[in-house]
Amino acid sequence: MRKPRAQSFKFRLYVADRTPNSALAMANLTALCRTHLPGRHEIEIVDVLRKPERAIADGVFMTPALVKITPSPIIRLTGTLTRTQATLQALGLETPSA
Amino acid sequence: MTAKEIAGIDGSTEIKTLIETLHGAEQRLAELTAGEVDAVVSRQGRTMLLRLAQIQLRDSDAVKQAAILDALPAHVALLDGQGRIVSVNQQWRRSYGSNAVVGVGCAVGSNYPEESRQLRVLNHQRRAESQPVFVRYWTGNSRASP
Repeated sequence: MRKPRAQSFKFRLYVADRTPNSALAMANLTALCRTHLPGRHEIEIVDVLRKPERAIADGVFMTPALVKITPSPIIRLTGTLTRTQATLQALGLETPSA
Repeated sequence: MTAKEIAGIDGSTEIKTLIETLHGAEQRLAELTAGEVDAVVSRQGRTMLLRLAQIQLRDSDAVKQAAILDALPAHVALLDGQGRIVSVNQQWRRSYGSNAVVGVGCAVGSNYPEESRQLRVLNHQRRAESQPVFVRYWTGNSRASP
């Protein structure tokens, strides 16, 4: 029996230019994907200073903010994603420890 | 005529209240998000960088600009729109001291056009030593050895 193909994750990270919190979120997301989703993730960076309409369309009103587009359900997280475990749990990549 | 009349702004209690509200809202937002938020977007699509993010971005740009200018082998002075020298690069400081062109009187804060005659003399000397003084205008125009 063929092993089911691992799901691919698509993220959209909303940032505000090169502000420190946005840069930190970008670095944390990149590291998280490299460690936990190697070869099966896609990250789109959207600058709200240039494209605020995209943030509104995604229901994002603060930056940095991460939106997990696929797989469903869509999940929104706000902040620098520094707390890795909490981020993984929120994204459904890790179950909370008992 | 008072400043209030010139500006056409009524320094009313409402404005003062709005200012307090603005500062209070930003502070509360920082508290609620543990300082992890840089910008907020209104429902109308207006984006506002929070104060701390603005400061950090400005400082970061200044550091980057200084690093680029300091890496240049030329003597570089940045001028503002009025022709005043606002900063000089490391090469300049190394040659002429931390804040001034010793003996010429062209220092940070001084008016460049007024000092141009002396600077021309300096440039002439620099050229003779194959070390031209480059001046880059704050507005983005640049030229060598005026």
